[in-house]
Amino acid sequence: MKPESIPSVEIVSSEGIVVARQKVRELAVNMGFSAVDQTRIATAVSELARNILVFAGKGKVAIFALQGDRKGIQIVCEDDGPGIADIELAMADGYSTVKSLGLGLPGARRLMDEFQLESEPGNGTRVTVTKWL
Amino acid sequence: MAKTTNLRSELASYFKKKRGAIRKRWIETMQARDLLMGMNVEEVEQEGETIFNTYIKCLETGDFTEAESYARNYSERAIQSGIGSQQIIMDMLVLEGVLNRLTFDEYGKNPEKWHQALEIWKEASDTMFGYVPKAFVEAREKISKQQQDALLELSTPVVKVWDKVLSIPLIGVMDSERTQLVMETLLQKIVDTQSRMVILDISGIPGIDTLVANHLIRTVTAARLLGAECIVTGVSSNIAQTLVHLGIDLSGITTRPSMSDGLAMAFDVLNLKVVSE
Amino acid sequence: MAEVTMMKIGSVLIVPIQVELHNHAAIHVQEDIIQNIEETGVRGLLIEVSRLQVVDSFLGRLIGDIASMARVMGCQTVVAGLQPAVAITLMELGLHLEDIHTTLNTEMGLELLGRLIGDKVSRFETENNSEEEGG
Repeated sequence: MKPESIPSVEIVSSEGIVVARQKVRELAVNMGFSAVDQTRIATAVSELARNILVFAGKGKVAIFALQGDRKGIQIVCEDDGPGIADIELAMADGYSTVKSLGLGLPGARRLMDEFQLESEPGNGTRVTVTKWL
Repeated sequence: MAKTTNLRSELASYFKKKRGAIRKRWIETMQARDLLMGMNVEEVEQEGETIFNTYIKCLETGDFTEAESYARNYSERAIQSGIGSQQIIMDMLVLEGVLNRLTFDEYGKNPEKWHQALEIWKEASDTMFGYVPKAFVEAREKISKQQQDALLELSTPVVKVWDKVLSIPLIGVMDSERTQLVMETLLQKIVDTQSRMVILDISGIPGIDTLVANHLIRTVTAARLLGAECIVTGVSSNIAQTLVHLGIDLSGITTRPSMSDGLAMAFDVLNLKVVSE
Repeated sequence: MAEVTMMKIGSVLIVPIQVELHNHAAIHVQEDIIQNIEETGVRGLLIEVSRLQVVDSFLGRLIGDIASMARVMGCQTVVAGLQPAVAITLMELGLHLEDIHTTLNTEMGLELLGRLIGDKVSRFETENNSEEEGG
């Protein structure tokens, strides 16, 4: 079965981050995720959406309800920004090129069940995360 | 295309007109074949009525959302009352037989039209039918998950031993899932009861591994973030050795030998005293 | 931009955060709080967060920063009413907020701040008194 999609959220300002995490929380509530999982998912989206804003300036967050044999939520965060040169380094706790805590990517990975990062310098970044019900 | 649409609504209204006859024949067949399976006639009639209405609606509109949600709803009820999927399948098979005969009665003289009609209602009935096994499996999974959760919950009893003091005795093998549940249940209970002290007694668990130890440490840290202090009691020599060998640092965690020592410490922190008269 | 109300009670500034803050608003709130501490000279800051459903690393860091700034100004910070789900998420993110005092609710927060900033002599006396009453 095809995953259902809610219209993706454009991230152009910090209001977009709030909208994205509200939308994903709403979906998580409707799908029956536990209170803790709802918060985990919303927080991960918040981290990834903020990364888009900080590193690329703009991008979008697409949210999918997976309704197949295994139910879950999948979020795809895409931007056309500068990309990541050293993915391994970017995934390390506390590594940051801007003045932040450097918990965004590794934190989002810990909060979700699956995490996939595709990026090339100059060609933008795509992060796909999944939480199973 | 227009022709089949016409035939579709013609069929639907024909079936609706014959509602009484269909129901009568349906029930009779069920009784004759001894298929009521402990349900009384009214129950079967009521269920049959719903199946029939849902079916007609799907036939009219070509939209099967309602059939799917009916199958889901029926499956959940059936499993809870101990009826198998056999009942609903027989219900629908018998209905199919009745509709088959009716269509023949009406269109039998015109084989081409009869075939068309057959294709239309058969498609509707097949689609509706297809939802049943899926809904049954899903309903069963849902219920067994609920039972599992209930069992897990039973194995993590959080007890309020005093105003602002909670105690949670961990017993049996702790796996990752259970420790996770302990953490979530405990934190919620801390907030619900506004408890400041928690005694985590681990004397009843046979062993510990890195994963479980880390979960325990996280539980203590999370409780602290809420504003509650945990005291871990009942660390057996076995577990103490394992912890040190695994290199797990428990220096940030308050420990006391026994549950009663833990309770005494909790009272102390809360400025409570136990006095013998 | 009055998204957050602040109340000064005695020598404590109480700041309930009840809405989801986006970046600009959050930074604005941070500036407001610090300015307020300077103007009023309060010795305690209580941030009430029970309505917050998401605290990400940005907001977590912001709260940590506020506490550090307040500390160098001689003001102690207590965060009261964190939701269990938020506490778990903060840990999984790797944010432990080790330097911040936390309490279950505002009342306990005020009590703790009273102990942290209170006059040591009077505290000693009350403790002694209560012991006598208890015994």
